Amino acid sequence: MATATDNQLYSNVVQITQSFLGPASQRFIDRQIKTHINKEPYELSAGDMQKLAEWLKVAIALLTEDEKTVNNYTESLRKLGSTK
Amino acid sequence: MHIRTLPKKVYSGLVILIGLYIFASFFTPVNQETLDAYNISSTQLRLITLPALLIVSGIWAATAYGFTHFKQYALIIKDSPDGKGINTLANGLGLVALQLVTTGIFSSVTAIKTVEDGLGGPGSILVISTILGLVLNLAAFYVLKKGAGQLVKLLKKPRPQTVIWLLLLGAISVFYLYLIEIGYPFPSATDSVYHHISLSAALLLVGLGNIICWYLALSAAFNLWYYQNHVQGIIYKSALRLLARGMYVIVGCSIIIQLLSTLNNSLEDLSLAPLLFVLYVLIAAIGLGFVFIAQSAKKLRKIEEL
Repeated sequence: MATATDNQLYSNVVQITQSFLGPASQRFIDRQIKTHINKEPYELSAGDMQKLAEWLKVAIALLTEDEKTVNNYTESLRKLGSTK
Repeated sequence: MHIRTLPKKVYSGLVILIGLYIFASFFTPVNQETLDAYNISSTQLRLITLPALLIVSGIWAATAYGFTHFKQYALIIKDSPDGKGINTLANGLGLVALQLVTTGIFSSVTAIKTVEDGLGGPGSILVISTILGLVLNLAAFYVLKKGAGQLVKLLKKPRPQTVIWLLLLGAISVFYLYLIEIGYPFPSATDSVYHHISLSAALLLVGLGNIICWYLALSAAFNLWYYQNHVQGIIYKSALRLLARGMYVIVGCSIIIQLLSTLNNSLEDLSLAPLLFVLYVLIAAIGLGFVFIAQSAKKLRKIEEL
């Protein structure tokens, strides 16, 4: 059975998020994928990235008032989406 | 322990304990010796102690509030790698809160003349109270140190260097034991625990016990500082900063209170009022430390709820 860590895209999203949410990243990303993409984390595909990035931007903006942090995160996700 | 039932359990326990504290302080016979010593009536004494009762109850409520929020966060993430360390820290904070409440109630209940006599008089009560506080502090700081150590392990970095502060603690400890040794048996300080125990008990039980407590407490604070500085995540770190700040305040004030309560013989030239004021400020600061922890837990919990 495939696991989430076998999915390179998923691992990259978690890795980017770690710079912002540290140890809470994997739990956070898993919830966002399950809730907003309606998939298991290991099923994440490049086609889901745009929608996921939008939800992640909203969620991070709720956690910090620092616009720069939100923009940095969004930019990192956008770069990841464009390389896939 | 369940996340939904936790606040109900903690707050109902708090109400019972505050009720017991107020009952013991307000509705039981006042010690006549105290009234004679200060030349006041029992009503006057109760009115004087009322603000202190309210302040202490407020501080206990703050500790219960901080503990509940942090424990709830710990329960949410209990199955994650950082969940173990956070849960151990939450248990340690619970023990700090328990220590605060238990020693408060003990001093209030033992002020009742019949209880005081039953326990062998003021000297015995002082010894029991010192040992009770010491044991609870040892347990609390041991658990906090363990929790902070579990978090540091997750960093997969070399263990923090502790030589400098260990040397500093060693020097302070030697000086502290020296003060006990030269002052013993503190003939004029009847309100000091050292006056009522042998020199070896003073040095080994109270002196060494306190030093071990300080080592555990400082170690916990240092490890948490190290974790907070080296863990990844800008937003996570900012939430954790409040936890670390709360921990420093709690650990620092607990150490100073321990020091004041065991070295009160050296401070006997000071009058009671400023000493009590300092003591209440320190206890209030511990309450504030728990409010910081509640704020931190709220921020950390928000990450888990989105």
